[in-house]
Amino acid sequence: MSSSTDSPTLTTETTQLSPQPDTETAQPTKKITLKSSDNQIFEVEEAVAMEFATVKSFFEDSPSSTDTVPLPNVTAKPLSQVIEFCKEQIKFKANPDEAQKKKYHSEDLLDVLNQAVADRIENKSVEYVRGFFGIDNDFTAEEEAALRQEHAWAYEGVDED
Amino acid sequence: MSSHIPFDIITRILSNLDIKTLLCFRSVSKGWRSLIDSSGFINTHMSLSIKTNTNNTLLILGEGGLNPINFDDLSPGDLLNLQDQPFISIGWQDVRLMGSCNGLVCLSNDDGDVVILNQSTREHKRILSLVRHGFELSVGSAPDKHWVWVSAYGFGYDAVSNDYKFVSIAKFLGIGFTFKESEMTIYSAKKDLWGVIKIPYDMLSTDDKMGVYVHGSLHWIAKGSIWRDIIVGFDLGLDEFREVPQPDYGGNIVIDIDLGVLGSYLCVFAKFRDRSADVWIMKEYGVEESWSKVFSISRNVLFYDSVRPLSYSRRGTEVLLELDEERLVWYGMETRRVVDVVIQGRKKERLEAVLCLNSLVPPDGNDRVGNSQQPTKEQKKNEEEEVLLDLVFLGVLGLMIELLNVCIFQLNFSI
Repeated sequence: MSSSTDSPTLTTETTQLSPQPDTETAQPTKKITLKSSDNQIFEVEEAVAMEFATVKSFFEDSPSSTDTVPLPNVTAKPLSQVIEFCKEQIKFKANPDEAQKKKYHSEDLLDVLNQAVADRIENKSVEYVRGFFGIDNDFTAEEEAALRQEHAWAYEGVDED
Repeated sequence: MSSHIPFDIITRILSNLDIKTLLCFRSVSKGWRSLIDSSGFINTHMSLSIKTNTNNTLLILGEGGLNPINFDDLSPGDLLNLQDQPFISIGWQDVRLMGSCNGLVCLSNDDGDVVILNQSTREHKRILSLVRHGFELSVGSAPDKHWVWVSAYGFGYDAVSNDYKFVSIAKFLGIGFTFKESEMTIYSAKKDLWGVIKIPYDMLSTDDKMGVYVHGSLHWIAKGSIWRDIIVGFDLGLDEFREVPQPDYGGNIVIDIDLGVLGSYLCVFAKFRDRSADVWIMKEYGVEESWSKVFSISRNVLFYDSVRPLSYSRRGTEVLLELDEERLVWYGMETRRVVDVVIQGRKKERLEAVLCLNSLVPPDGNDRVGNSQQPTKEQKKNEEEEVLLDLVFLGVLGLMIELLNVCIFQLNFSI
Protein backbone atom coordinates (compact mmCIF):
# COMPACT_ATOMS: atom_id res chain seq x y z
CA MET A 1 0.00 0.00 0.00
CA SER A 2 1.85 3.04 1.18
CA SER A 3 5.27 1.64 1.66
CA SER A 4 7.55 -0.68 -0.23
CA THR A 5 10.50 -0.51 2.07
CA ASP A 6 11.60 -3.97 3.04
CA SER A 7 13.48 -4.16 6.24
CA PRO A 8 13.08 -7.69 7.52
CA THR A 9 16.23 -7.42 9.58
CA LEU A 10 14.85 -4.61 11.71
CA THR A 11 15.60 -5.14 15.31
CA THR A 12 13.84 -3.60 18.22
CA GLU A 13 15.00 -0.14 18.99
CA THR A 14 14.65 1.93 22.05
CA THR A 15 13.08 5.33 22.03
CA GLN A 16 14.09 8.04 24.39
CA LEU A 17 11.93 10.74 25.76
CA SER A 18 14.77 13.13 26.46
CA PRO A 19 17.24 14.61 24.04
CA GLN A 20 20.50 12.71 24.08
CA PRO A 21 23.57 13.12 21.89
CA ASP A 22 24.21 10.10 19.71
CA THR A 23 27.42 8.80 21.19
CA GLU A 24 27.13 5.28 19.82
CA THR A 25 29.04 6.00 16.63
CA ALA A 26 29.84 2.35 16.11
CA GLN A 27 26.19 1.53 15.61
CA PRO A 28 25.49 0.63 11.98
CA THR A 29 22.06 2.27 11.84
CA LYS A 30 21.54 5.98 11.90
CA LYS A 31 19.10 7.54 14.31
CA ILE A 32 16.55 10.14 13.41
CA THR A 33 15.22 12.66 15.87
CA LEU A 34 11.47 13.32 15.79
CA LYS A 35 9.75 16.16 17.57
CA SER A 36 6.09 15.88 18.54
CA SER A 37 3.72 18.86 18.47
CA ASP A 38 4.23 19.28 22.23
CA ASN A 39 8.00 19.47 21.75
CA GLN A 40 8.92 16.03 23.02
CA ILE A 41 11.98 14.54 21.36
CA PHE A 42 12.11 10.93 20.16
CA GLU A 43 15.13 9.15 18.76
CA VAL A 44 14.14 6.41 16.40
CA GLU A 45 16.12 4.10 14.17
CA GLU A 46 16.25 5.47 10.66
CA ALA A 47 14.45 2.54 9.04
CA VAL A 48 11.54 2.98 11.43
CA ALA A 49 11.45 6.75 11.06
CA MET A 50 11.37 6.46 7.28
CA GLU A 51 8.02 4.71 7.55
CA PHE A 52 6.56 8.04 8.51
CA ALA A 53 5.59 9.73 5.25
CA THR A 54 6.33 13.14 6.69
CA VAL A 55 9.81 12.10 7.75
CA LYS A 56 10.52 10.54 4.39
CA SER A 57 9.51 13.61 2.41
CA PHE A 58 11.41 15.78 4.86
CA PHE A 59 14.66 14.03 3.95
CA GLU A 60 13.75 13.80 0.28
CA ASP A 61 13.33 17.54 0.21
CA SER A 62 16.55 18.19 2.07
CA PRO A 63 18.75 15.07 1.89
CA SER A 64 21.63 16.52 3.85
CA SER A 65 19.53 17.79 6.67
CA THR A 66 20.47 16.79 10.15
CA ASP A 67 17.69 18.71 11.79
CA THR A 68 15.06 17.34 14.06
CA VAL A 69 11.96 16.36 12.10
CA PRO A 70 8.92 18.18 13.41
CA LEU A 71 5.65 16.22 13.51
CA PRO A 72 3.10 18.97 14.09
CA ASN A 73 0.07 16.67 13.84
CA VAL A 74 0.78 14.40 16.76
CA THR A 75 1.48 14.77 20.45
CA ALA A 76 4.00 12.74 22.39
CA LYS A 77 1.62 10.24 23.94
CA PRO A 78 0.17 8.66 20.78
CA LEU A 79 3.51 8.96 19.02
CA SER A 80 5.34 7.04 21.72
CA GLN A 81 2.60 4.42 21.71
CA VAL A 82 2.78 3.98 17.95
CA ILE A 83 6.54 3.57 18.17
CA GLU A 84 6.00 1.01 20.94
CA PHE A 85 3.46 -0.71 18.74
CA CYS A 86 5.95 -0.91 15.87
CA LYS A 87 8.56 -2.44 18.12
CA GLU A 88 6.05 -5.07 19.15
CA GLN A 89 5.13 -5.68 15.55
CA ILE A 90 8.74 -6.22 14.66
CA LYS A 91 9.09 -8.69 17.50
CA PHE A 92 5.98 -10.41 16.29
CA LYS A 93 7.33 -10.79 12.78
CA ALA A 94 10.08 -12.96 14.15
CA ASN A 95 7.33 -15.20 15.48
CA PRO A 96 4.51 -15.13 12.91
CA ASP A 97 2.42 -17.91 14.46
CA GLU A 98 1.14 -15.62 17.15
CA ALA A 99 -1.85 -14.48 15.20
CA GLN A 100 -3.78 -13.61 18.32
CA LYS A 101 -1.07 -11.31 19.42
CA LYS A 102 -1.27 -9.35 16.24
CA LYS A 103 -4.96 -8.78 16.66
CA TYR A 104 -4.43 -7.72 20.22
CA HIS A 105 -1.88 -5.16 19.22
CA SER A 106 -4.02 -3.88 16.37
CA GLU A 107 -6.86 -3.31 18.82
CA ASP A 108 -4.52 -1.54 21.18
CA LEU A 109 -3.25 0.71 18.47
CA LEU A 110 -6.78 1.44 17.37
CA ASP A 111 -7.58 2.65 20.89
CA VAL A 112 -4.57 4.93 20.79
CA LEU A 113 -5.53 6.33 17.40
CA ASN A 114 -9.15 6.83 18.42
CA GLN A 115 -8.02 8.72 21.50
CA ALA A 116 -5.66 10.81 19.38
CA VAL A 117 -8.42 11.69 16.92
CA ALA A 118 -10.76 12.47 19.82
CA ASP A 119 -8.14 14.83 21.27
CA ARG A 120 -8.01 16.61 17.92
CA ILE A 121 -11.76 17.23 17.73
CA GLU A 122 -12.57 17.79 21.42
CA ASN A 123 -14.35 21.12 21.89
CA LYS A 124 -14.10 21.93 18.17
CA SER A 125 -16.90 23.53 16.21
CA VAL A 126 -19.40 21.50 14.22
CA GLU A 127 -18.10 23.06 11.01
CA TYR A 128 -14.54 22.01 11.85
CA VAL A 129 -15.64 18.42 12.43
CA ARG A 130 -17.59 18.27 9.17
CA GLY A 131 -14.51 19.48 7.34
CA PHE A 132 -12.21 17.16 9.27
CA PHE A 133 -14.17 14.02 8.40
CA GLY A 134 -15.55 15.27 5.08
CA ILE A 135 -19.14 15.00 6.23
CA ASP A 136 -21.98 16.68 4.35
CA ASN A 137 -24.50 18.55 6.46
CA ASP A 138 -27.82 16.86 5.72
CA PHE A 139 -29.88 19.05 8.06
CA THR A 140 -32.03 21.89 6.79
CA ALA A 141 -31.14 25.28 8.24
CA GLU A 142 -34.27 25.12 10.42
CA GLU A 143 -33.47 21.64 11.73
CA GLU A 144 -29.93 22.63 12.60
CA ALA A 145 -31.04 25.82 14.33
CA ALA A 146 -33.54 23.83 16.39
CA LEU A 147 -30.88 21.29 17.37
CA ARG A 148 -28.49 24.02 18.44
CA GLN A 149 -31.28 25.57 20.47
CA GLU A 150 -31.74 22.32 22.43
CA HIS A 151 -28.31 22.67 24.05
CA ALA A 152 -27.35 26.25 23.23
CA TRP A 153 -24.97 26.45 26.22
CA ALA A 154 -22.85 23.60 24.83
CA TYR A 155 -21.86 25.71 21.83
CA GLU A 156 -20.31 28.39 24.01
CA GLY A 157 -16.55 28.57 24.01
CA VAL A 158 -15.81 26.05 21.25
CA ASP A 159 -12.69 26.39 19.12
CA GLU A 160 -13.64 27.54 15.64
CA ASP A 161 -10.61 25.95 14.02
CA MET B 1 -16.07 10.34 1.86
CA SER B 2 -18.04 10.32 5.08
CA SER B 3 -20.04 7.28 4.03
CA HIS B 4 -16.81 5.29 3.96
CA ILE B 5 -16.01 5.79 7.63
CA PRO B 6 -17.17 2.70 9.45
CA PHE B 7 -19.72 3.47 12.13
CA ASP B 8 -17.74 1.36 14.52
CA ILE B 9 -14.75 3.67 14.17
CA ILE B 10 -16.83 6.82 14.65
CA THR B 11 -18.36 5.24 17.76
CA ARG B 12 -14.93 4.47 19.15
CA ILE B 13 -13.64 7.97 18.48
CA LEU B 14 -16.69 9.73 19.90
CA SER B 15 -16.67 7.52 23.02
CA ASN B 16 -13.56 9.41 24.12
CA LEU B 17 -15.22 12.83 24.02
CA ASP B 18 -16.75 14.85 26.82
CA ILE B 19 -20.49 15.46 27.08
CA LYS B 20 -20.40 19.12 26.04
CA THR B 21 -18.58 18.28 22.81
CA LEU B 22 -20.94 15.39 22.09
CA LEU B 23 -24.01 17.59 22.51
CA CYS B 24 -22.56 19.98 19.91
CA PHE B 25 -21.73 17.16 17.53
CA ARG B 26 -25.38 16.08 17.44
CA SER B 27 -25.75 18.78 14.80
CA VAL B 28 -22.91 17.50 12.57
CA SER B 29 -25.25 15.28 10.54
CA LYS B 30 -28.34 13.12 10.92
CA GLY B 31 -26.19 10.03 11.19
CA TRP B 32 -24.14 11.50 14.02
CA ARG B 33 -27.25 12.67 15.85
CA SER B 34 -28.80 9.17 15.76
CA LEU B 35 -25.53 7.65 16.88
CA ILE B 36 -25.00 10.03 19.82
CA ASP B 37 -28.66 9.69 20.87
CA SER B 38 -28.68 5.90 20.71
CA SER B 39 -28.76 3.95 23.95
CA GLY B 40 -26.00 1.74 22.52
CA PHE B 41 -23.67 4.70 22.24
CA ILE B 42 -24.69 6.15 25.60
CA ASN B 43 -23.79 2.82 27.22
CA THR B 44 -20.51 2.49 25.30
CA HIS B 45 -19.52 5.99 26.37
CA MET B 46 -20.45 5.25 29.98
CA SER B 47 -18.55 1.93 30.02
CA LEU B 48 -15.41 3.63 28.73
CA SER B 49 -15.68 6.34 31.40
CA ILE B 50 -16.01 3.65 34.08
CA LYS B 51 -13.14 1.62 32.62
CA THR B 52 -10.78 4.59 32.46
CA ASN B 53 -12.12 6.12 35.69
CA THR B 54 -12.69 9.47 34.03
CA ASN B 55 -15.65 11.80 33.49
CA ASN B 56 -16.49 12.05 37.17
CA THR B 57 -18.08 15.07 38.77
CA LEU B 58 -18.31 15.74 42.47
CA LEU B 59 -21.66 17.39 43.10
CA ILE B 60 -21.84 19.44 46.26
CA LEU B 61 -25.23 20.48 47.48
CA GLY B 62 -25.27 23.30 49.99
CA GLU B 63 -27.81 25.94 50.84
CA GLY B 64 -26.63 27.93 47.86
CA GLY B 65 -27.44 25.30 45.28
CA LEU B 66 -25.83 22.43 43.44
CA ASN B 67 -22.18 22.86 42.57
CA PRO B 68 -20.37 20.58 40.12
CA ILE B 69 -16.63 20.08 40.68
CA ASN B 70 -14.47 18.31 38.10
CA PHE B 71 -13.37 15.25 40.07
CA ASP B 72 -10.88 14.03 37.43
CA ASP B 73 -8.49 16.86 38.35
CA LEU B 74 -9.19 16.96 42.08
CA SER B 75 -6.46 16.03 44.56
CA PRO B 76 -6.39 16.02 48.36
CA GLY B 77 -5.47 19.48 49.58
CA ASP B 78 -7.10 21.28 46.66
CA LEU B 79 -9.16 24.30 47.57
CA LEU B 80 -12.70 24.15 46.24
CA ASN B 81 -14.20 27.21 44.70
CA LEU B 82 -17.92 26.70 44.42
CA GLN B 83 -19.75 28.26 41.55
CA ASP B 84 -23.40 27.57 41.62
CA GLN B 85 -24.67 26.54 38.22
CA PRO B 86 -27.64 28.71 37.31
CA PHE B 87 -29.29 25.89 35.35
CA ILE B 88 -29.80 23.87 38.50
CA SER B 89 -30.22 26.67 40.99
CA ILE B 90 -33.98 26.44 41.11
CA GLY B 91 -34.46 28.40 44.28
CA TRP B 92 -35.68 25.54 46.39
CA GLN B 93 -35.58 25.60 50.12
CA ASP B 94 -34.02 22.63 51.82
CA VAL B 95 -33.12 20.59 48.79
CA ARG B 96 -31.79 17.11 49.47
CA LEU B 97 -29.98 14.51 47.46
CA MET B 98 -32.01 11.33 47.02
CA GLY B 99 -29.35 9.43 45.13
CA SER B 100 -27.25 9.23 42.01
CA CYS B 101 -26.77 6.61 39.35
CA ASN B 102 -25.30 6.51 35.80
CA GLY B 103 -24.99 10.28 35.62
CA LEU B 104 -28.48 11.01 36.90
CA VAL B 105 -29.03 12.73 40.22
CA CYS B 106 -32.28 12.67 42.09
CA LEU B 107 -33.16 15.68 44.25
CA SER B 108 -36.11 16.52 46.43
CA ASN B 109 -37.33 19.43 48.51
CA ASP B 110 -39.53 19.87 51.55
CA ASP B 111 -42.66 20.37 49.47
CA GLY B 112 -42.29 16.91 48.03
CA ASP B 113 -41.09 17.99 44.58
CA VAL B 114 -38.70 15.52 43.06
CA VAL B 115 -36.37 16.24 40.15
CA ILE B 116 -34.25 13.81 38.18
CA LEU B 117 -31.33 15.73 36.73
CA ASN B 118 -28.52 14.93 34.36
CA GLN B 119 -26.09 17.67 35.35
CA SER B 120 -23.78 17.16 32.37
CA THR B 121 -26.49 17.52 29.71
CA ARG B 122 -28.42 19.94 31.97
CA GLU B 123 -31.62 18.08 31.24
CA HIS B 124 -34.05 17.42 34.02
CA LYS B 125 -37.43 15.94 34.68
CA ARG B 126 -39.72 17.15 37.42
CA ILE B 127 -41.92 14.56 39.09
CA LEU B 128 -44.57 14.98 41.71
CA SER B 129 -43.93 13.09 44.88
CA LEU B 130 -46.56 11.72 47.22
CA VAL B 131 -44.40 11.89 50.29
CA ARG B 132 -42.07 14.25 52.01
CA HIS B 133 -38.99 13.54 53.99
CA GLY B 134 -40.30 15.06 57.20
CA PHE B 135 -43.40 14.27 59.18
CA GLU B 136 -46.42 13.82 57.04
CA LEU B 137 -50.08 13.08 57.45
CA SER B 138 -50.73 9.45 56.96
CA VAL B 139 -52.37 8.59 53.65
CA GLY B 140 -55.36 6.33 54.17
CA SER B 141 -53.94 4.86 57.33
CA ALA B 142 -55.83 2.82 59.84
CA PRO B 143 -56.83 4.61 63.09
CA ASP B 144 -54.12 2.91 65.15
CA LYS B 145 -51.35 4.13 62.86
CA HIS B 146 -50.44 7.59 63.96
CA TRP B 147 -47.50 8.80 62.05
CA VAL B 148 -45.87 8.56 58.74
CA TRP B 149 -42.20 9.22 58.75
CA VAL B 150 -40.16 8.87 55.59
CA SER B 151 -37.20 6.98 56.92
CA ALA B 152 -35.30 6.17 53.75
CA TYR B 153 -35.11 6.85 50.06
CA GLY B 154 -32.98 6.01 47.09
CA PHE B 155 -32.47 6.18 43.36
CA GLY B 156 -31.07 3.61 40.97
CA TYR B 157 -31.20 1.70 37.73
CA ASP B 158 -33.43 -1.28 37.03
CA ALA B 159 -31.64 -3.37 34.42
CA VAL B 160 -34.60 -5.71 33.92
CA SER B 161 -36.90 -3.04 32.51
CA ASN B 162 -34.12 -0.59 31.57
CA ASP B 163 -35.66 2.01 33.84
CA TYR B 164 -34.62 4.46 36.55
CA LYS B 165 -36.48 4.27 39.83
CA PHE B 166 -36.87 6.54 42.80
CA VAL B 167 -38.10 4.99 46.03
CA SER B 168 -39.07 6.37 49.40
CA ILE B 169 -39.88 4.33 52.46
CA ALA B 170 -42.49 5.53 54.90
CA LYS B 171 -42.82 4.21 58.40
CA PHE B 172 -46.07 3.93 60.32
CA LEU B 173 -45.87 4.28 64.06
CA GLY B 174 -48.53 3.19 66.49
CA ILE B 175 -49.44 4.37 69.96
CA GLY B 176 -46.32 5.07 71.97
CA PHE B 177 -44.33 5.49 68.76
CA THR B 178 -43.94 1.77 68.34
CA PHE B 179 -43.13 0.54 64.87
CA LYS B 180 -46.17 -0.80 63.04
CA GLU B 181 -45.14 -1.27 59.46
CA SER B 182 -43.32 0.23 56.50
CA GLU B 183 -44.32 0.80 52.96
CA MET B 184 -42.23 1.67 49.99
CA THR B 185 -43.33 3.97 47.22
CA ILE B 186 -41.62 3.25 43.92
CA TYR B 187 -41.56 5.71 41.07
CA SER B 188 -40.69 4.50 37.58
CA ALA B 189 -39.17 7.23 35.40
CA LYS B 190 -39.99 5.41 32.19
CA LYS B 191 -43.62 4.69 33.02
CA ASP B 192 -44.01 7.93 35.00
CA LEU B 193 -46.00 5.95 37.56
CA TRP B 194 -45.97 5.43 41.31
CA GLY B 195 -46.57 2.11 43.01
CA VAL B 196 -46.68 1.14 46.68
CA ILE B 197 -45.61 -2.10 48.36
CA LYS B 198 -45.61 -3.16 52.01
CA ILE B 199 -42.24 -4.08 53.39
CA PRO B 200 -41.27 -6.07 56.45
CA TYR B 201 -38.31 -3.93 57.54
CA ASP B 202 -37.93 -1.07 59.95
CA MET B 203 -35.34 1.15 58.30
CA LEU B 204 -33.29 3.14 60.75
CA SER B 205 -34.41 6.70 60.40
CA THR B 206 -31.86 8.46 62.54
CA ASP B 207 -29.74 9.65 59.65
CA ASP B 208 -32.43 10.00 57.03
CA LYS B 209 -29.87 8.92 54.48
CA MET B 210 -30.10 7.90 50.87
CA GLY B 211 -29.96 4.27 49.89
CA VAL B 212 -26.68 2.92 48.61
CA TYR B 213 -26.90 1.73 45.01
CA VAL B 214 -24.70 -1.29 44.24
CA HIS B 215 -25.23 -4.27 41.94
CA GLY B 216 -28.72 -3.25 40.83
CA SER B 217 -29.96 -2.94 44.42
CA LEU B 218 -30.50 -0.15 46.92
CA HIS B 219 -29.22 -0.79 50.43
CA TRP B 220 -30.16 0.52 53.83
CA ILE B 221 -29.57 -0.35 57.45
CA ALA B 222 -32.62 -1.77 59.18
CA LYS B 223 -33.39 -2.79 62.72
CA GLY B 224 -32.53 -6.43 63.28
CA SER B 225 -32.33 -7.93 66.72
CA ILE B 226 -31.61 -5.85 69.79
CA TRP B 227 -27.98 -6.72 69.34
CA ARG B 228 -27.46 -6.12 65.72
CA ASP B 229 -28.66 -4.00 62.84
CA ILE B 230 -28.96 -5.62 59.46
CA ILE B 231 -28.20 -4.61 55.88
CA VAL B 232 -31.15 -4.96 53.54
CA GLY B 233 -30.96 -4.70 49.79
CA PHE B 234 -33.86 -4.01 47.48
CA ASP B 235 -33.35 -5.39 43.97
CA LEU B 236 -34.81 -2.77 41.62
CA GLY B 237 -35.15 -5.28 38.79
CA LEU B 238 -36.86 -8.04 40.75
CA ASP B 239 -38.72 -5.81 43.24
CA GLU B 240 -37.41 -8.03 46.02
CA PHE B 241 -35.86 -7.42 49.41
CA ARG B 242 -33.07 -9.55 50.77
CA GLU B 243 -30.77 -9.39 53.74
CA VAL B 244 -27.15 -8.89 52.79
CA PRO B 245 -24.56 -10.74 54.91
CA GLN B 246 -22.20 -8.62 56.99
CA PRO B 247 -18.48 -8.95 57.54
CA ASP B 248 -17.19 -11.05 60.41
CA TYR B 249 -16.25 -8.34 62.87
CA GLY B 250 -14.52 -10.86 65.13
CA GLY B 251 -15.17 -10.41 68.80
CA ASN B 252 -15.52 -6.65 68.55
CA ILE B 253 -18.75 -4.99 69.48
CA VAL B 254 -19.94 -2.83 66.66
CA ILE B 255 -22.03 0.07 67.88
CA ASP B 256 -22.90 1.58 64.54
CA ILE B 257 -22.59 0.76 60.85
CA ASP B 258 -22.65 3.04 57.85
CA LEU B 259 -23.02 1.93 54.25
CA GLY B 260 -21.46 3.25 51.09
CA VAL B 261 -19.86 2.42 47.77
CA LEU B 262 -16.12 2.31 47.23
CA GLY B 263 -14.72 1.39 43.84
CA SER B 264 -18.10 -0.12 42.82
CA TYR B 265 -18.20 -2.41 45.88
CA LEU B 266 -20.64 -2.28 48.76
CA CYS B 267 -18.74 -0.87 51.69
CA VAL B 268 -19.32 -0.94 55.46
CA PHE B 269 -17.92 1.40 58.10
CA ALA B 270 -18.15 -0.52 61.35
CA LYS B 271 -17.71 1.73 64.35
CA PHE B 272 -16.56 0.37 67.71
CA ARG B 273 -17.12 1.60 71.24
CA ASP B 274 -13.90 3.59 71.33
CA ARG B 275 -15.02 5.36 68.11
CA SER B 276 -12.37 3.69 66.01
CA ALA B 277 -13.72 1.97 62.90
CA ASP B 278 -12.96 -0.77 60.40
CA VAL B 279 -13.86 -0.36 56.76
CA TRP B 280 -14.81 -3.37 54.68
CA ILE B 281 -15.74 -3.97 51.05
CA MET B 282 -17.74 -6.89 49.66
CA LYS B 283 -15.70 -8.01 46.67
CA GLU B 284 -18.27 -10.47 45.40
CA TYR B 285 -21.78 -9.22 45.86
CA GLY B 286 -23.86 -11.32 48.25
CA VAL B 287 -20.96 -13.58 49.25
CA GLU B 288 -20.22 -13.33 52.95
CA GLU B 289 -16.67 -14.69 52.64
CA SER B 290 -15.75 -12.01 50.13
CA TRP B 291 -15.86 -9.18 52.68
CA SER B 292 -12.36 -7.84 53.13
CA LYS B 293 -11.07 -5.18 55.42
CA VAL B 294 -9.52 -2.33 53.42
CA PHE B 295 -8.47 0.09 56.11
CA SER B 296 -9.11 1.25 59.65
CA ILE B 297 -9.81 4.58 61.25
CA SER B 298 -7.92 5.08 64.49
CA ARG B 299 -9.65 6.45 67.53
CA ASN B 300 -9.29 10.18 68.11
CA VAL B 301 -8.57 10.81 64.45
CA LEU B 302 -12.00 11.25 62.98
CA PHE B 303 -15.15 12.04 64.91
CA TYR B 304 -18.45 11.49 63.22
CA ASP B 305 -21.93 10.24 63.80
CA SER B 306 -22.52 9.20 60.23
CA VAL B 307 -20.16 8.80 57.32
CA ARG B 308 -20.62 8.34 53.60
CA PRO B 309 -17.63 7.38 51.44
CA LEU B 310 -17.60 9.12 48.06
CA SER B 311 -14.54 7.85 46.21
CA TYR B 312 -10.91 6.89 46.32
CA SER B 313 -8.51 9.64 45.31
CA ARG B 314 -6.97 9.26 41.86
CA ARG B 315 -3.70 7.97 43.29
CA GLY B 316 -5.68 5.53 45.41
CA THR B 317 -4.13 6.33 48.78
CA GLU B 318 -6.96 8.42 50.22
CA VAL B 319 -10.72 8.19 50.45
CA LEU B 320 -13.07 11.13 50.23
CA LEU B 321 -15.65 11.04 53.02
CA GLU B 322 -18.75 13.07 53.76
CA LEU B 323 -19.25 13.35 57.51
CA ASP B 324 -22.50 14.20 59.27
CA GLU B 325 -23.75 16.07 56.20
CA GLU B 326 -21.54 19.00 57.08
CA ARG B 327 -17.93 18.16 56.38
CA LEU B 328 -15.84 16.71 53.54
CA VAL B 329 -12.49 15.13 54.33
CA TRP B 330 -9.77 13.13 52.64
CA TYR B 331 -8.64 10.26 54.83
CA GLY B 332 -5.21 8.74 54.15
CA MET B 333 -5.70 4.98 54.38
CA GLU B 334 -2.05 4.29 55.17
CA THR B 335 -1.05 7.55 56.83
CA ARG B 336 -4.31 7.77 58.82
CA ARG B 337 -4.17 11.49 58.34
CA VAL B 338 -7.21 13.65 57.80
CA VAL B 339 -7.23 16.56 55.36
CA ASP B 340 -10.32 18.74 55.39
CA VAL B 341 -11.67 19.82 52.02
CA VAL B 342 -11.67 23.59 52.24
CA ILE B 343 -14.51 25.24 50.40
CA GLN B 344 -13.85 28.87 49.69
CA GLY B 345 -16.39 31.37 50.98
CA ARG B 346 -18.53 28.70 52.54
CA LYS B 347 -20.81 29.66 55.37
CA LYS B 348 -21.57 27.21 58.12
CA GLU B 349 -24.26 25.19 56.52
CA ARG B 350 -25.45 21.73 55.71
CA LEU B 351 -23.61 20.05 52.91
CA GLU B 352 -24.26 16.92 50.90
CA ALA B 353 -22.04 15.52 48.19
CA VAL B 354 -22.25 12.77 45.66
CA LEU B 355 -19.96 11.46 42.96
CA CYS B 356 -21.65 11.50 39.60
CA LEU B 357 -20.60 10.15 36.22
CA ASN B 358 -20.80 12.51 33.26
CA SER B 359 -23.13 10.68 30.92
CA LEU B 360 -25.71 11.25 28.18
CA VAL B 361 -28.43 9.28 29.96
CA PRO B 362 -31.76 11.10 29.53
CA PRO B 363 -33.51 11.89 32.83
CA ASP B 364 -36.87 10.55 31.72
CA GLY B 365 -35.49 7.03 31.34
CA ASN B 366 -36.49 6.90 27.68
CA ASP B 367 -34.23 6.67 24.68
CA ARG B 368 -33.93 9.78 22.59
CA VAL B 369 -34.37 7.60 19.52
CA GLY B 370 -36.21 4.35 19.06
CA ASN B 371 -33.52 2.02 17.84
CA SER B 372 -29.92 2.12 18.74
CA GLN B 373 -27.41 1.43 16.07
CA GLN B 374 -25.53 -1.65 17.00
CA PRO B 375 -22.82 -3.31 14.95
CA THR B 376 -24.30 -6.01 12.75
CA LYS B 377 -23.32 -9.65 13.03
CA GLU B 378 -21.40 -9.34 9.84
CA GLN B 379 -19.35 -6.56 11.37
CA LYS B 380 -18.55 -8.78 14.32
CA LYS B 381 -17.24 -11.44 11.97
CA ASN B 382 -13.77 -11.16 10.61
CA GLU B 383 -12.86 -8.72 13.29
CA GLU B 384 -9.24 -8.89 12.42
CA GLU B 385 -9.91 -7.95 8.85
CA GLU B 386 -12.15 -5.18 10.04
CA VAL B 387 -9.49 -3.66 12.22
CA LEU B 388 -7.16 -3.62 9.27
CA LEU B 389 -9.82 -1.98 7.14
CA ASP B 390 -10.50 0.55 9.84
CA LEU B 391 -6.89 1.52 9.91
CA VAL B 392 -6.84 1.85 6.13
CA PHE B 393 -9.94 4.01 6.21
CA LEU B 394 -8.41 6.19 8.83
CA GLY B 395 -5.42 6.52 6.53
CA VAL B 396 -7.69 7.51 3.68
CA LEU B 397 -9.10 10.19 5.89
CA GLY B 398 -5.70 11.73 6.14
CA LEU B 399 -5.71 11.57 9.91
CA MET B 400 -2.23 11.40 11.22
CA ILE B 401 -0.98 9.97 7.99
CA GLU B 402 2.54 9.56 9.16
CA LEU B 403 1.46 7.37 12.07
CA LEU B 404 -0.86 5.27 10.01
CA ASN B 405 1.73 4.69 7.35
CA VAL B 406 3.71 2.82 9.89
CA CYS B 407 0.94 0.54 11.01
CA ILE B 408 -0.42 -0.09 7.53
CA PHE B 409 3.04 -1.09 6.53
CA GLN B 410 3.31 -3.33 9.54
CA LEU B 411 -0.03 -4.97 8.90
CA ASN B 412 0.66 -5.45 5.21
CA PHE B 413 3.95 -6.93 6.03
CA SER B 414 2.47 -9.52 8.31
CA ILE B 415 -0.16 -10.68 5.82
